[in-house]
Amino acid sequence: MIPSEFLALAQRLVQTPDLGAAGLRSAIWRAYYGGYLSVRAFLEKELATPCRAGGVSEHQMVQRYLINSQVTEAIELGHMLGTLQQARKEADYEMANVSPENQQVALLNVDRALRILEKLEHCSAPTIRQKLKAGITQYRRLIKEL
Amino acid sequence: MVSIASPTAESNILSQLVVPDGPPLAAEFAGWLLGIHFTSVAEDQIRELLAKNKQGTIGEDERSLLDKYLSLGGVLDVLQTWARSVRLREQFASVGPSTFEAFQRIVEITTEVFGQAPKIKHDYNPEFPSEKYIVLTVEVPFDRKSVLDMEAEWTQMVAVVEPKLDTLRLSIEPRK
Repeated sequence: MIPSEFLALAQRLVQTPDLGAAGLRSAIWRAYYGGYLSVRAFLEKELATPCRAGGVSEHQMVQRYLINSQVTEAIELGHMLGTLQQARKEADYEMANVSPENQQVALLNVDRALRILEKLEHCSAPTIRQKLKAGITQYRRLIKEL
Repeated sequence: MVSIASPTAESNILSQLVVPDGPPLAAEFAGWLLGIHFTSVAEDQIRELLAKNKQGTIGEDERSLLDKYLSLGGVLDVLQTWARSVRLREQFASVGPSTFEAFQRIVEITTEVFGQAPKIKHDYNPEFPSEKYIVLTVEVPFDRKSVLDMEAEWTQMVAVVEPKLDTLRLSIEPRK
């Protein structure tokens, strides 16, 4: 399965009438995973960068690689993922916070995931990809991962 | 002759004060200061006055009251900015001044882009509790396009701040 199918599902969900609180929260979850898994697949497959590191989640590792890559586009992508991850965390764990039950908020998060895929496509361009690979390698050396 | 900037509100006047060097505000006092806020009744009244002001239906007495609220709010903003700075300096004591300065810059960027100082809190990933980060929360009127545009601007500005902070999250709430 390709990760963006989660995003496609999120898009369908948010358009469903009377989806309810759980449905809208789930749409945000799926939007995040559509974006996050796409980026992780890019790092692992296109840049041969495993996103597993001791003591840190893969979610965090993906953002760290991007933010510390010294490539502006990728740094932006890392922060965009962080924003969407926070929204997903609020949707999945903060039941007292009812914002994720607002359809506009769910739609916003679907839009965020779409923008993440657009940014990812940009980062996939050969020139940026090359710089990104070099930047992440340098960072992995810095943190003694290589 | 010395040129003096003309302050227009109490908060501007206050920002012209010279603060002596020396020990910063005690963290407890900073926490107390950050707890000061308007009552919900006053907040409702401010919202109502702002709406009337926007519609051009505000009376003279109401405008005067609104001005007083805004002036006092401005003073409180300045004091709480100090308090936040004390709290943050304490929280960042272990990571060095450059990281603290980068964080301060990101708070400034957030304030500039969203037109308000963010609420700052520590948070963690419930699935990986050892993974902690800082969340900057702002409340905005919820127009998706403008929220996305502001976010994009924030992201671009934050991306060039050095050193990089990779444990920072932005959270945007619809304004109530």
